[in-house]
Amino acid sequence: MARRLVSPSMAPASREVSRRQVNLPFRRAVEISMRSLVIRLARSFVTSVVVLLAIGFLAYMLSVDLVIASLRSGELVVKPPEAQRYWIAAISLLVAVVGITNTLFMSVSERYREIGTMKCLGALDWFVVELFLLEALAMGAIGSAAGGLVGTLVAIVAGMLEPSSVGGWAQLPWLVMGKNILICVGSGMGLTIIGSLFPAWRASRMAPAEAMRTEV
Amino acid sequence: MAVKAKKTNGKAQGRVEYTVVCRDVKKEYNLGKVLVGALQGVSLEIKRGEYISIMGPSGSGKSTLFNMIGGLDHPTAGKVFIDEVDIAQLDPYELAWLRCRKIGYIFQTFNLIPVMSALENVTLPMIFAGLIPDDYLPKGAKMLQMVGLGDRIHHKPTELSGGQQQRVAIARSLANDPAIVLADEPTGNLDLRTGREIISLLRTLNKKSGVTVISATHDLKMIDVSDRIFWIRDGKIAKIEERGKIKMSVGSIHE
Repeated sequence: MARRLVSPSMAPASREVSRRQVNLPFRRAVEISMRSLVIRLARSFVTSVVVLLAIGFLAYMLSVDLVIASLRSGELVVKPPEAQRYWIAAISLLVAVVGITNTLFMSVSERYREIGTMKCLGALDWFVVELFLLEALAMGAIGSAAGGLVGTLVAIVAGMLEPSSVGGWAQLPWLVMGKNILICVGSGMGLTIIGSLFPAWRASRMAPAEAMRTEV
Repeated sequence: MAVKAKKTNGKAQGRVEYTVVCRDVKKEYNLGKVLVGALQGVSLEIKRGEYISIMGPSGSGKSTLFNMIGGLDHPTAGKVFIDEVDIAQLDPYELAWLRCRKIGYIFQTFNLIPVMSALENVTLPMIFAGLIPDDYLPKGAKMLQMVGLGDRIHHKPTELSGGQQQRVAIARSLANDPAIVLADEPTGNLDLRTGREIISLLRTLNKKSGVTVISATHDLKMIDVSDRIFWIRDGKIAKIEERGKIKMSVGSIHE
């Protein structure tokens, strides 16, 4: 008869004991993910640029009307963008998600052997997902922060260059722009998480023998 | 039927303790129209502390058997018991614990993580086992010293030769003081001299710490250090030999 690794008298607590016995502390996970990111700098950079462009476009869309309106009338005007703007921004975000998913799929398939090895060392499925998600999140955070700033900056410049604008720096809707940047960073990070979930989950589910056998 | 060892006061009495037991293990790979029978009913028992070699030609099912014993893949039929526990019954947490603490793996292609240094590779399983840096860093350095790489602990795998990488892999497999070390063609990618060094290193570790070593190989140099040899052919165990009963003579070429 099969016996569990932990004796039956400990049965109620055995799940907890097993769970506690293999663990990946968050700090170590961050270390490992950041290391992988930096080593594959070119690929990470390109993925961040994808995010930067999409989020930059979103930031521009969110802020440009406000900037132009504020500078024209010389006072703070809060007017929501038209629905069409949202559609255009949504499409650009969709393209970004597709781009991110594609890059991460490639990245994950190149590292199947690494994943298989980690599982041989005792990694649970969620360790693998966590490591890939952290990498994707870091790329997303950097890309969307940069994108938010760049997009807003372009909106400001566009506003300044408008022939009918009369106001100066003081008339810019700083608070709203700041809020928009935060929205952008949040969306960017959300995008990268969505884009990376499926590849990471799929990678984590392979049996170690299969993972190490895969030749991509 | 599982082989049970009666334990009294922590010692086995009368019955032999088998650390690995396979009962009629079968494995088939479904390749579309063709069903490939890699293992066709393998049964074996391995005692604690033995040094076992599973030998056979290419395609005989050695690596498949290795994967079955190591819990890296599921058999199509049959059971594998590690210390009397049916590994197919284990949930993912227990399986991960098994791979982390109880079994150490060594592969033909070394399988070190390229972005990490030797020390980091060796200490990764220790991190999973819950050790803190104050504990695992010196322990990792000590293990690398034991395999003769004390001065290269911060080198990355790309900066190490094949033999050195395999030594790192051996140190890594012993990171959490496992009961069993599984080696799949450990000398497959190594030249003659380095292969001999690796084999003698494994034998030394087996004798010193009493860890059970199970090696799937077609390297005949392993015969000399093994306690028993399982000859596998076409997915079945053809013969089991004890080292003492093998006659070996070594010839030389005179020119």
